[in-house]
Amino acid sequence: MADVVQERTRHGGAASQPTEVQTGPPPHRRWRKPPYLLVAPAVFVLVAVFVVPMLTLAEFSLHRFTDGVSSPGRTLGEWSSFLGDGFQWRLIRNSIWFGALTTICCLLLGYPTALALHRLRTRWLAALCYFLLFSPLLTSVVARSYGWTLVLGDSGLVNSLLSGLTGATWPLLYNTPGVVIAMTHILLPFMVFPVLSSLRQIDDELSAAAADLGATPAARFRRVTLPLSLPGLVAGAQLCFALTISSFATPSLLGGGRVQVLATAMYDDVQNLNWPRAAVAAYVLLALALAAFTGFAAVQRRLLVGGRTR
Amino acid sequence: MHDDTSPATQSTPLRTASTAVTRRSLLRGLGSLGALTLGATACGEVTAGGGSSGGGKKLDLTMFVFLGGNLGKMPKEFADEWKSSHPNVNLEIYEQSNQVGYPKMVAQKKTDPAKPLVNLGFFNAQTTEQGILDTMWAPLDYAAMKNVGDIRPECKRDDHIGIGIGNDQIGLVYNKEKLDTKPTSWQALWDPANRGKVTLFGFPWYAVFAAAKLGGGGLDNMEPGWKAWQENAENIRTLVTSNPQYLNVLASGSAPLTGYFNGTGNQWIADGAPLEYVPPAEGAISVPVNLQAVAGQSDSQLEACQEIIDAMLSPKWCSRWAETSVEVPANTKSNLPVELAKLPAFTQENVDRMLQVDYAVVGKNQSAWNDRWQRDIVARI
Repeated sequence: MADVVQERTRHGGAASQPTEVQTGPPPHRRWRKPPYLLVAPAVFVLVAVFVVPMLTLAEFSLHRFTDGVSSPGRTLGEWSSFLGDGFQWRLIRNSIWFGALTTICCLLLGYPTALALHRLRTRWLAALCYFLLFSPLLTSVVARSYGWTLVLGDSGLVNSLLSGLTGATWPLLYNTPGVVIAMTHILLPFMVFPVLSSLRQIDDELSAAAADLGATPAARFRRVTLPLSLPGLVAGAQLCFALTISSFATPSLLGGGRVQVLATAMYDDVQNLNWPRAAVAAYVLLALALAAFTGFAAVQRRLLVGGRTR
Repeated sequence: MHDDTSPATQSTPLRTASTAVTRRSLLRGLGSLGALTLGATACGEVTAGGGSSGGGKKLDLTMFVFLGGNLGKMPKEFADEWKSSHPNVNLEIYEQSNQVGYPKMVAQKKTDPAKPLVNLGFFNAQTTEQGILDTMWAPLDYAAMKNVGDIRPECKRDDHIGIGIGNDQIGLVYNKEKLDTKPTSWQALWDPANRGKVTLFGFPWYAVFAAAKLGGGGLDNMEPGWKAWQENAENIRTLVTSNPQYLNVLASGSAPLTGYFNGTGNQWIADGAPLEYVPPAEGAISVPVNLQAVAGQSDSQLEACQEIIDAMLSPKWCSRWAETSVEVPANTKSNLPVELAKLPAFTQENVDRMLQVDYAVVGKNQSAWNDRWQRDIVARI
């Protein structure tokens, strides 16, 4: 028996001529590794923790919640009342605004941080910086949030410094600025690492060539480093935005009720057993995340293919 | 039941060192092992409210207990004693707030009505009413419970859906060191003098109700309450979502005034927080705490639940509940310790003027009221 092994060329995926390889009679028929078996575990997890719950939510969203109970009949009433409700649209706008604000803060802090880490040559210092950057992800959200209440509170560290300088107490807790500060702290690694990855892919020779041609450091950054690192920056922004609009614990614990976004409203609805509306809100939030993902992906594709970076 | 001589076990290949292990045989072996593990897991699984104990003689029961302060003390002590005197019953504790735990009970009921998340437990009046809407509870047979005769009439229900074990109350809690003037009226909560000094837990329907009551309305007309809070939403510094957060905000003085439970407030005070509980001049709001048996469980479980509830209504355990939760005991033969009886909440004058609430109305309207609270009040803070 002879096995026929079809080899494909590495370029373009076009099939080459089949090559017959005489291998002699094997003890068993050779076991192939179909790709679907390799992705099966991931597909199983995805179906179990995402598709099935989403289908359940879709079913929930087809009921109406009246007088404290969900009606048994199916209707699109909850969808129409949600989409026709100005308050819900305000929550959607708040979510987008909150996501945008946090993403901008992450970007403004994350890019210089990534640049500094990229240029850092002392290994122990770099390791320390990575640890500090990762540290928010090593603590629980509740502990971290209570930490922020101590830091940002009226008699906290930040206010002690600010009141010493300005003589006034600054409201940094239980409002949007406090939540954005805490979210930026958590999400900074999600901005820094994609940018860092982009920066590491830039050939140092390019900057050196620009310098040889008389470009100042600022011009080299503006015309070489920044454009070439934009894909990483967009990827980081994509992550930060998606994680922010779906975040619940930090807005809930540090927002003090003032940060009303879709995720916190969904939690309220779940607790009040208004599951049909919570289900609709979940789908709207998913749609929002997908729209953002598509938008960021389009920008990234344009940067990669459209000529600015290549 | 898992059996050691099951085919799954027999099919598991046991190779000697001299036997070659092929990839196929290895995969087959792993598959069998996986099936065996799944089977064993399924056989050994005991759900929170499930009746099966895997073939053993024990009856598995789970009791819902309030989370926070000393609210878990008495139920845990009771469970230990019950288990030692009833070796055939395994009584587990599920500790959670009603606000968080009840939606999980509803979710479990939707998934498998015959396997409730818990079998019995402590539920406040609001959750009791919500449970009636959700057909969550099984009625109790008062006639078969020997301690029911000693329970105060207002703690019993005509429909026999649960029975009260104690009565808490909601009044004013404030930080003595951070609030200049001791509040004496519900009005302190929406008084413009207290801008940015108030904290409230989630959706505080009672704060709107109190404002409605003082404005000439009530549960049937909450408009005066909504108006008062809309005009003074800026009084709210923060809304909290948990008891530890609540204590932190009150004790630190970030927001030194709230309306909350006498029981929890006094537990915080006992733990050293610089707080004081004040029954408002217009009356604190009465909040019964009920014991409920959950519908959907087996007859033997229901029978055991009823027996346990009856035992918890005894003078001994009712007194212990009142002592640890700082509530008025439901059993007329129970007494509060002298030091607790002296608390302002328990003076006859304050007990007489307590505001009784129709919790069926609260349960029915809670979701709509919460909606309005989010739109009209929270959006303005």
